[in-house]
Order: sequence, then C-alpha cells, then structure tokens
Amino acid sequence: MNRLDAIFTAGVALIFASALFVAKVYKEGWVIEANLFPIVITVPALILAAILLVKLLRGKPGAEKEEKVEVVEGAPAGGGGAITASEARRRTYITIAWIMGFFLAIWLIGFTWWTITLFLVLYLKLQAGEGWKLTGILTFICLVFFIYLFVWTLHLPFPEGLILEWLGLPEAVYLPRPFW
Amino acid sequence: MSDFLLFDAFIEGLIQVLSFPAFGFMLVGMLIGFVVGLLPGLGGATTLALMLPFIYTMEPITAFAFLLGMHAVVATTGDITSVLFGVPGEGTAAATILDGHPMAKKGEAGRALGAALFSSLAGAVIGAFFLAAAIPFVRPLVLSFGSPEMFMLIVLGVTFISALGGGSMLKAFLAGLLGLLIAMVGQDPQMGIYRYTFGWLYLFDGLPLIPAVIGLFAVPEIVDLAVSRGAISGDAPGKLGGVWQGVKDTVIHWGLTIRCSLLGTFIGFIPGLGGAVAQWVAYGHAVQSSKHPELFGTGMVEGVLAPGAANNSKEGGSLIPTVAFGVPGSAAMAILLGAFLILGLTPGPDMVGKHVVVTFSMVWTLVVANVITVALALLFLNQIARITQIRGGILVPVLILLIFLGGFAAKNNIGDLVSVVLFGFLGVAMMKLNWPRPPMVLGIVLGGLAENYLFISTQRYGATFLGRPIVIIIMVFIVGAILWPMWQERRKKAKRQLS
Repeated sequence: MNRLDAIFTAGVALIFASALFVAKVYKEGWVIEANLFPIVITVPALILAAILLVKLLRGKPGAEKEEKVEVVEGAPAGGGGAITASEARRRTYITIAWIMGFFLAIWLIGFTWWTITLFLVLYLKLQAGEGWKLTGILTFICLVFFIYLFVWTLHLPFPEGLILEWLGLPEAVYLPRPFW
Repeated sequence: MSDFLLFDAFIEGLIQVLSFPAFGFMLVGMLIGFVVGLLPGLGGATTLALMLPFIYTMEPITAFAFLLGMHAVVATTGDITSVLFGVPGEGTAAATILDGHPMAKKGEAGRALGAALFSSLAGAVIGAFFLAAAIPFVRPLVLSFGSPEMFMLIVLGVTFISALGGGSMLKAFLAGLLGLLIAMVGQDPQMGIYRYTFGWLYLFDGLPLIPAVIGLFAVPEIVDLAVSRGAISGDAPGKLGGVWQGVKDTVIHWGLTIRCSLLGTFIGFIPGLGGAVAQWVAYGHAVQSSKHPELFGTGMVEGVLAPGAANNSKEGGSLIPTVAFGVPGSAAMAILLGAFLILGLTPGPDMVGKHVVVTFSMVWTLVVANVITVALALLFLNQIARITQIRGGILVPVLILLIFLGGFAAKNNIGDLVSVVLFGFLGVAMMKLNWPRPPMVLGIVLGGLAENYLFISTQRYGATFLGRPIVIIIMVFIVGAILWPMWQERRKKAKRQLS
C-alpha cells in the first residue's frame, strides 16, 4: 500500500504546489490580504507532504506483497464472507461506476422521477439480483418520498437534463405535479 | 430583578410552554424537526427559515415553542442516520459517524443510538440550564471575547486535529491543511477577490459543507457496504438491542458527558463559531482524555457520547448572545433573530427584564422538546436499529439516491452533485489509504472563520494581539494539545520497551 500512499501524497503535494503557484506567481489582481492565508497554509503543507513522501518511499518493501493476499477485514462484517483484496477492489470499482452512472444520468436526463426509477430498477435487478416484487415496492416508496417531499413540498429546482434541454421538452413532461 | 422574581419567571416559563397552544405547536415543530433531522442535507437553519412565515399570527411564547421545538429535535435526530448508515442527517452530526457507524457495523446500533440520544438529552438539559443561569451576568463574558480570542479559539480547534489523527499525525495535519485550503475557494472575505474558482460560478460562493461531508463520509461507507454485500450490522444481530446499555454508558461516562456539554455550550455561546465546530472539538477532547485513544474510530462509545452531548448543548449556548445582545451564535440563530423582529421583540436588556418569561420559555422548550423526543425515540430505537440488518443490496441504491438528494438540497445546484462525487472519490481513497478524514472537515469548517478573525485582529491590534491575557491562556492550551499526544506516545513506547 506504500506505493499507492506515496502516489496519493504526491497528488496532495501537487495540489498544494499549484495553490501556492496561483497565490504567489499567477495572482491575477490578488492583493496581500487575499493571498496571505493561502501562502501561510501551502508552505508548511508542502514541507509536511515532502516529509511524508520521503517516509513512505523509505517504507518496508514487503508491505505491497502482503497487500496482494490481504483479506478485507470489513467485508465479513456484512456476512458476505471473507474476500480477497483484488475482489474487494473489483467490487469497489463497480460501486463507483454505479455512483458515476447515476450522476451522469442526472446530468444528461435530469433529476427526475424516471431517472430515479431507471437507476433503482437497474441496480436492484442487475446488481443486487432482487425479485420484481421487491424492486417495484422499493422503487415506488422512493418515488413517493422524492415527489411528495422534494418536488411538491420543498419545490427544489431540480436540474433539467442536458439531453431534454436540447430536445426542448417542456418541464411538465418529466416533472409530475399534484393533481389538485 | 430580584432572585425571587427571576425564579417566578422561571416557573412561569415552564407553565407557559406546557399550556395550550404553545405545547401543541411545539409538538408539531418537533415532528417536522424529527423528519428534517433524519434527512441528509436538509439543515435546521433551512427549516427554520421555511417555517418563519407561519409565526406571524402567533404569540411570542407559542412561536418560540414551535421554532425551538423543531430546531432542538433536528440536532438530536441527526445522529440516527449518522449511526445507522454513516450518512450525516445534519452537518452538525458528522462526528457521530466516526465511532457510531463502526458500532452499528459491530451489531451495536442500538447501544450507539441509545448513547447518542441520551447524551444529546443530557447536553440539551445542561445547555439550557447554563443559558438560564447565564442570563443575569452574561454581558461581561461575551464582551471579553474579541477577534483575537476568537482566532486563537479556532487555532485551538485546528490543534485538535492532532488528536483526531488516529495514528499518523503527519497525515492528520496534511488533511487539516487541505481542508483549510478548500475553505479558501471562493470570494475572499476582505477584498472580495475570487480565489481558486476557475471562473466557475458555482465556486464563487465557496464549496458548501454538506456535499463535502456527504462525499467524504457517506460515499466510502456505501462503497464498503456494497463491497461486503451483506447487512450493515453483519454477523452480530443478537446485540442489536442494547439501547439501555447506551443509556447506561452515558451515566457511566458522566464526567465526559458533562465536560463535552459544557464545551458545546461554550462554543455555542461564542458568536460565529457555529455548531459544526462544537462536535469536533468535543470528539477531539474525548480522544485526548481517553486511556485508549488508538481505539477511537473502531466503535468506542465515548466517541458517540462526546459529539452527541456537545451537539445539543450548543443550542442553549448559542441562544445566550442571540437573546442578550442580538448577536447570533450561528446561522440558525441569525434566522431566529428574524423571528424576534417578526414578533416585535428586541433582543437585549428587555429579554432579561420585562420579557424574561419569554426567555425562560425558550430554555424550557429546549428541555421539554428533547425529553419528549428522546423518551419516544428510546421506545422505538430497537426497531429502528433493525434497519442495519437489511441486506446491503437493497440499502445501497436507496443510500445513493439519498446522498444525491441531500447534496443537492444544500445549494440547489448541479455543482453540489459534482462536489458529492469528487469528495466521494477523495473519501474512498483516504479511507483505503488510512488518511484521517475528520481533520479535513474541521479545516473546511474553520478555514473561512480563521482567515476572517486573523485579518481583523492584525488590522486592529497588529502583532500585539498575541499579548492579550485570554489569548495567552488559549495559547497555553494549544501547546498542551500538541504536546499531550506526543508525550502519551513516548510513554507508551517506553512502556513497550520496558516490557
């Protein structure tokens, strides 16, 4: 894990270095009041990051070997049994892909009742392998919760999807209103 | 006003709160607060603002029973989702996740919820009575805290980062500094210059806290749950109960509960520090004062008691400057100040004089609302805790929907969802690589305030602000907070070598 940790630390150091560069060199109209605090933060942060990076790079080389056969400790807590680190990584990527997928769906087709339906049905059927009955009930409960509380009661201005905007579809097509 | 008259007013305040229609409106407010507290992203301040128009026709005591009844409960129930799912119901309930959620994973959800709610009740009662006791002589205390003292208090808060590190102090400090840097995004408070915004309108106002907290804490927990493919509570369903054990824990650790309640009251009492700070400072105190600081983050009940107590006691504390001077202690109190104006009341000497009954009714509302909520919640907590036995496959998509809804509710901008995703990835990476996440949140919370108070201090006093008596006292605490964990570590090493 040392190598990954070192890469992450280097990334953090790069963020601080970029922030310092912007505050010190590329300071478009920044006066001392605006760039003092960023400089005060980034300079010690860069020093600390450098120390951590050296520590990590000097770390025990055996650590990575151990990681390959590591059993994820958190996993058995769910009752799913012990799994290897590579399997845990694969499942992590899949979950991140679902989160990203839902985000992209919201961005492209809007935060609407049918985006939510699509996501819930696809996840429950394809990923969780649940039956149609449970999928239907859970999706219905979530939709009622979403529409009643967030759309009708709180009137949150949910974003319209890019695709629907391009198609010029009216809002009423995809945002149900109370019938009264 | 004589002591006798004050006592009469104190009792009169209780009677008024328990009378109709104040009591009925308080129950309605509590119901709204209960739901809002459970929903991620919807804050107490937002709900107060939404409910403000309804008080126009109410009497002052009824109006405050309604508003404060709601606000008091939001802080209490926010802990429930933090413990069960690792999703903070409130920005101010994020610290409860650190040990509350690991307890739920160990099958001790009932115990964690019992501890969170009962410590919240203890905190609320202590905070409320501190408010009542402070009313007669609060003025000199508030006036003794200027910008230099506020700045040093924030530095003290940042210093607690070292305690929250959970192993690597170097990583903890770096995470804290990263949080401070993130807080720099947006318009700078002095000159109005846009920093690190990349010309993106969403960033002009800075990064909101809620999407950041949801991303850093909830997304990694969801990923963890999806990876395990089981239920949150895993193999230990037999221990799901234990609500009364949580209540007993509060009594067993009564010293910690009282200390954190007082800490929360004090932080709430300082205008501008806000509730999100109180719970982190209390958590840091619990870690530092524990004999086993290395076990925090793995499901220590003290890690639930401390933020729970501080979270609610700060409400009483933050009412003090609001009522006594019209200086709001938090965003929610600023909105409550609007209620004063709507009702034709002027915060200040009148509130501890001719309107003292109204002030005491606020104290009683905080106490009564929390007692009723906790008593009702304790009856159903074992049932609520059973949610942790539901299969992960069913919970994960619902939680993903909730984090996006909660994140979006913060600023109603698509940028909030981008923040949730980006902070989520960062949170997953930090969790996998053992980087502590709480210091980063603390940095985000305190960054803007620290810069502001430092600027005012240096402009007003120059470097001499460091010589002010209260500043020196706080500095001594800061040095102690840095050295204490180092000294403890050394002592442990020496012991290990000896054995």
